[in-house]
Amino acid sequence: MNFFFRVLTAIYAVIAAVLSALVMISPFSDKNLMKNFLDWADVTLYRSDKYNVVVFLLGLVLLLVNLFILFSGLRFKRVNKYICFKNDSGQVRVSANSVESIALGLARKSRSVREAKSKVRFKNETVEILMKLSVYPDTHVPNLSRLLQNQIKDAVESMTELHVSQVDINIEGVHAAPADKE
Amino acid sequence: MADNGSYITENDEMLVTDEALAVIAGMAAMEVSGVAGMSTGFTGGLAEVLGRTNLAKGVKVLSRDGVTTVDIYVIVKYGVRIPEVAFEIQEHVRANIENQAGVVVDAVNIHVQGVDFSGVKEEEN
Repeated sequence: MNFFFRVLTAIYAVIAAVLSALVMISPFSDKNLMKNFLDWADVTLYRSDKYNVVVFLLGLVLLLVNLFILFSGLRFKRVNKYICFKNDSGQVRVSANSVESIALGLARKSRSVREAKSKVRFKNETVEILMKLSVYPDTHVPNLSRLLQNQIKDAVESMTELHVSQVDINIEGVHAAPADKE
Repeated sequence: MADNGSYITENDEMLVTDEALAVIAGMAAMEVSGVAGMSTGFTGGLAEVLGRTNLAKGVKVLSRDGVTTVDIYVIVKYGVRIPEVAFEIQEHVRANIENQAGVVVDAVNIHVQGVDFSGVKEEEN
């Protein structure tokens, strides 16, 4: 999610908040207040040409933002979820999930890893793996990372015959609980 | 699915439904070593919870205009070479369907949905 998108979402949230607040207030507020507001809007906005343009542009901008958010929402789903090879008998599709579970299984076998999450992306026939780990205390992180990176790279390459371009390791936390695994 | 999901072989006598082909394919796929199980989607899992055993689990057969494609969703065992296992499944499924049903399969697509780690020992680090 880029910065621009965040700003748009923030603007949208504000607009939605204001609208919902107005809706909540409307049953309890003075009838005249709403009426006065509508009259004012009628006079200033709809009776003058200058404001007509402004209102139209405002609506147009909102519509465009709306469409942008809608389509970007659709676009996000089209991440490469699998990688495909073809042979004479048909296609073989290896899902990102299966590569993730190879990496996860290896990480969980290690005694120093408490929790692991993994994310896999396929990029031009190569695999990028991101591991998020939380580890137990007394772990030598550089050693653990090196070991896991090599293990994961070897395992994924031998199982899928794809090239692993990078294995990133994020250490997200160190947990104080002593290692219960024997 | 064309032809009511049914299939006409070269004799024009026998009808084999897609469902029957799916059962044959599912059983054939399970026989290949390196296959830990078939992967059902969400609905398949639901059907299983409700007590329907499904031999055609994780298999989709589509015959349209005389072209039959089989899609197989598998979970493989850790450590196997996926391209080799996939090729074996493809050959085995194709051979079984052709032998048992006499239907020519045009493509067998393998979808590897997961890797099974059970049976792999914990290691010292």
